[in-house]
Amino acid sequence: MKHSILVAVRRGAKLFAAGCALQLALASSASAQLTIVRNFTGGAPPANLAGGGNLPDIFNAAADWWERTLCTQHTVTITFRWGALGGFTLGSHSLTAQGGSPNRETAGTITFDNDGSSVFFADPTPTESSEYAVFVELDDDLGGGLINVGRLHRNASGAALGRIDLFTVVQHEIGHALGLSSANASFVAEAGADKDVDVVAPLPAAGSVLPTDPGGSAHLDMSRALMKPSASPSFRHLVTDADILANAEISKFDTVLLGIPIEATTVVRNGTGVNPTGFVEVTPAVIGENWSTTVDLSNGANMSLVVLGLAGPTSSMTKWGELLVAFPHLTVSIAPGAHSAAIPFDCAIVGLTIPTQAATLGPPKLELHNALDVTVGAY
Amino acid sequence: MSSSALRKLVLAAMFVGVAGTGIALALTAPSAETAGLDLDAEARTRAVEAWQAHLRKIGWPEEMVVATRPEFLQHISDKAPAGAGSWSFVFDGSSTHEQRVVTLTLASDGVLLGEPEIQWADLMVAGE
Repeated sequence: MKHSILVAVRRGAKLFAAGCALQLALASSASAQLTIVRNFTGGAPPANLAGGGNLPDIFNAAADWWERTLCTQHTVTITFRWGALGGFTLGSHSLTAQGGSPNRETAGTITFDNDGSSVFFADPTPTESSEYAVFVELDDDLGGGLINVGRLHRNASGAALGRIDLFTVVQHEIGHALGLSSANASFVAEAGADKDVDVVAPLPAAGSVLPTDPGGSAHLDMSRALMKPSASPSFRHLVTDADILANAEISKFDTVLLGIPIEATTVVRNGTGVNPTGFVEVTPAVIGENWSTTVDLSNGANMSLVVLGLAGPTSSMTKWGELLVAFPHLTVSIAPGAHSAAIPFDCAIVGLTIPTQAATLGPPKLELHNALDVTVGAY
Repeated sequence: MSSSALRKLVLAAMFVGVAGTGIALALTAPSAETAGLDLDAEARTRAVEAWQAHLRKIGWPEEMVVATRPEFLQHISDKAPAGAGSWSFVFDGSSTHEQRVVTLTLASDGVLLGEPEIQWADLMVAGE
């Protein structure tokens, strides 16, 4: 685990008057992120577009997804639009600039077909996939242990039935901008001759050999992967671990987050129930964002505490109430009601659950309140 | 000199004379066929240059640029008159999942007219 807990002292005028305020900050040795800059230049959506969604929103959802998987400092600007592509072509990606060390795409253009030959389903809520009744994940051992090679929704209904899922196509095209592109010199160097991507350390599943299109195009020759060269009606494909590893190896993204990105969650916990409720507001703990909470001071207290425990949850009775986080390894934030912590953009801490308990401090006394189990998420 | 050898010498002289006439004609009034043959080779050379220039433009390392001479640039996919004696050439190395097309126009004297157009894209297509 790369994270550590630091306690930063801020002596602001207001808080200083109250004594000493501590602001918690989760610090990381590997705070870096992929940034996909999105530049929509328009074009008319196809007249037969169904579902109620729109391209910019779907593009944002797909770009967010990729950003949560490749946790390495890099920025790529993608200009995208609707345009006529003809034939059976659904989407088209062209690399327009690359560079740096390691070499990566820095700019590209993507066009989505609008000539009516592609019958798209535009999902207004693309991350929910409620139009598909069945979700399937498939694993395979490609030389480096079992890895996920398929992540798909099927049994479509409503507007998704019989139509190509635009979210799938958008994720696929963005995937080209992250490594798997025939114009990317890193792809040519990696897969041009032997038509595969060899996953090596420090990436997980090192030793895996991911086959690419024997015809030479920049696609995976894996029938269930997102980066296969085609999409079928009534199916939704999501980014697989094979897709992530292929792009990570080509573009040398050393830190990846495999699996479906984890959503930040907060679970209220109150042991035997003897403690009063203390937390009145809390935001999700998302990497790269600020986590904040407010503790209720209506009991007459003039100061509150938020106790973060890396151990626990636990339960033991004290004279101040029920202790719901474990000692030792605790960090305490003291402030008059409002507390915050900066969560670094570090994929290594995604999924970490931090037992958190509120307390208020006199008058008349120290009083323990309920707890939250805060799980750090990618979104 | 034998009669046979003399005959060969005469035929050779006639051949040179014909070829010389052809050259003279080409210099004064080139036929489309003769000019086309010259332009094809010139177009292939220009296509490779255009492709390599594009690679440099999009950031390929120089050692990879000079080592790259795609096979499809040796085969003219389409050729059509473009007016005033000029010709447009298309080199198409596309497959189902990748578009690779170079389009350029040469004047009758082999001079490149305008910038060659490069279309290079990763394509996703509809499947079953």
